[in-house]
Amino acid sequence: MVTKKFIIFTVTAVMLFFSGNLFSQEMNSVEFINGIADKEEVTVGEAVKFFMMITENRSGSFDENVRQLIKAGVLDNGFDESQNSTLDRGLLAEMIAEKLNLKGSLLYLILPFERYAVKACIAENIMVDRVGEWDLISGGELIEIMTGVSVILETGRQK
Amino acid sequence: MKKLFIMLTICAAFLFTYGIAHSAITVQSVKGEAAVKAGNQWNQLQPGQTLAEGSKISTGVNSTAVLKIDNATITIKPMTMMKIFKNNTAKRESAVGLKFGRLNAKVQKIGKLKTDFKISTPVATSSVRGTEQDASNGAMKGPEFIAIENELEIETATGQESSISGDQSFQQSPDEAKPDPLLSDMQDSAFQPLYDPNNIDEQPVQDFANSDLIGGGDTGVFNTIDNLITEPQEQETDTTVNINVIWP
Repeated sequence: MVTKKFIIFTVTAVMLFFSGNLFSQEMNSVEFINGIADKEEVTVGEAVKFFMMITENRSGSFDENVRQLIKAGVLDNGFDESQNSTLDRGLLAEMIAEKLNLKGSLLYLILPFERYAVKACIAENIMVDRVGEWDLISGGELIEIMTGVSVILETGRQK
Repeated sequence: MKKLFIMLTICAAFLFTYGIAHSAITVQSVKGEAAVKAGNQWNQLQPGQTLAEGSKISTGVNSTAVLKIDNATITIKPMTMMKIFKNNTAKRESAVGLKFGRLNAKVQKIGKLKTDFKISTPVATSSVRGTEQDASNGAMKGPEFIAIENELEIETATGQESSISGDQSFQQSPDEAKPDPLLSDMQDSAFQPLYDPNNIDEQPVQDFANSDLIGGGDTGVFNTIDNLITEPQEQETDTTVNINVIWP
């Protein structure tokens, strides 16, 4: 009798534990987006996580995400940025240009450098034309850039 | 007994009138992650759920939510954060604040009734009367309003007004639309201590805080007022520069 009660209690506890986890997973992107929205600078780790959420609809640890993005050709094989280093516009632009196969900048097709990746993103209206590849990105800017990327992924529309 | 009956009737009438004036804001549909903030926690929105004035709503990646506010239908696009400032059905006035992201608002016109639906961002507000509009706001590009149907009236934080129609859009860079420097006196007086409260003209700040633009001074949404007080705006001043050119 005691064993039966114990089993029922354990099963219920496990179910409640997992339902809580599922719920928190569901709220992951809302909490993440609102968590970075007011940041003046975002990190490489945050950008990689956001990028995975947008493009793959899932996200793992930083190392897993990087491995996945290297495999997909979005990041270089020699990528060695730490997840806490601040994100500059060039790296993000290069990731976007590779993923979306941007053709907005002829120079980027010839010279696939960060500088021209930024210009390609500007040509596609993903970034604005008053920035350079070394500029840091705020949380609000990252959200806006990623919104642009998701619209292009969703609609297939490129300007 | 009679007294009690009268009191109950008055209470019921008051509650009924209040209910009509502030009719429920309901969630029509949800796709993916869409949440309402309660305290410091985000709770998933459910179809049919009612929301109160002051609710902050946010959507996640690849997620949308549709709200019914009075006679308006608001579609909240992915990665958006907004707040319902006002919903007064008696006056047919509703206002939402868009911190970041994209919205589509369809405001149904009911006969000759005057309706007013406002979407506010820190630098501009659009006012809709029986029409459809797309609104977006972001840190880089600033607010953009597109009049999909009929006419849209736009007012910027600096008081400029314009109207657009027929698929036209209005866009304002966040850099261009900073409100007039309210603390210019402080910058000129080098001998006054910085942020001396006696040296600040508080009335414009108070007016701005009470304006419809930020829906009665919400501190959490845009932080505009804090920025105005803590960060004196840079001013452009005319300066005479003498250049003497000596020909070799």
